[in-house]
Amino acid sequence: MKFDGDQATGFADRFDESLLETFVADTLEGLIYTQRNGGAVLLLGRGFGPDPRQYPDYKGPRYDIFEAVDSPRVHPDGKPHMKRYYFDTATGLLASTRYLDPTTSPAMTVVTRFSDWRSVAGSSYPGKIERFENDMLVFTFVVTNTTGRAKAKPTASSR
Amino acid sequence: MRSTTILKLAIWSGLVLGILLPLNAQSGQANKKAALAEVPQGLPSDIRRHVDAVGLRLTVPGKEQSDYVGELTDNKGGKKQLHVTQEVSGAVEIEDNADPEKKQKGTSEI
Repeated sequence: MKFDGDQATGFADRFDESLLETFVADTLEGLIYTQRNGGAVLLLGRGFGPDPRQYPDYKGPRYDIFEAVDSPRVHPDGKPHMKRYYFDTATGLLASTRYLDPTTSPAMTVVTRFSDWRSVAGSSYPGKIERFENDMLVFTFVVTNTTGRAKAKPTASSR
Repeated sequence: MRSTTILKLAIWSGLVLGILLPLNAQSGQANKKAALAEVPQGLPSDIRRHVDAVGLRLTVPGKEQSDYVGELTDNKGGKKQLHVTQEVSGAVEIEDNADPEKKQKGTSEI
């Protein structure tokens, strides 16, 4: 299955759709796509943590949070919806993406977590991606190999 | 006579515009796609920090495509090998049963 930048094709069911949506829109590349295509992207703030009145000695991770509103790409019939991207304040890397999926009734809470970030040849890649819908784990993708390369030039036969 | 000439001019103008405008729109779309395929430039500084954190693949030409090979486990415990190709343009392709023999030369294990 694929998303060519304009439309998604080849997915068979809701699971496939969730998988494709995760890579198309829940990633940093998804946020950049929204920004470059005129979607609304807003930095809500940096260094978010739990309420200091309740957790005065909190030493855990803090997050820089972006809010983005864009039209759905994988499910084109859906209405524009908002996603929040949580970046680890210390590393700058994406930790999770959270939103309400309005294409289901009732709308479903979705959390995609990115962890186990590894550096390969000067680039960082997530080693583990997990998707939760209504707090239930939908899938875990554990990366064993990754690489970055130049985009393949279109061949005469694929033009 | 004069009104006939004006009418002909209007028709010809319409025809020419009808041909040129869609061509211009197609060219604009092609240019936009080409720009999106490049590493992002001119992003707001708010986002730039997080793009820089990821490193070369989103900042230096020549690594615009990321390939992930790994194991997907669904909520019923089913497992399968996937090959995910993600481009900086936003394009994504997911293939089942990634064949380890097809891995790109230079693939790094993590």
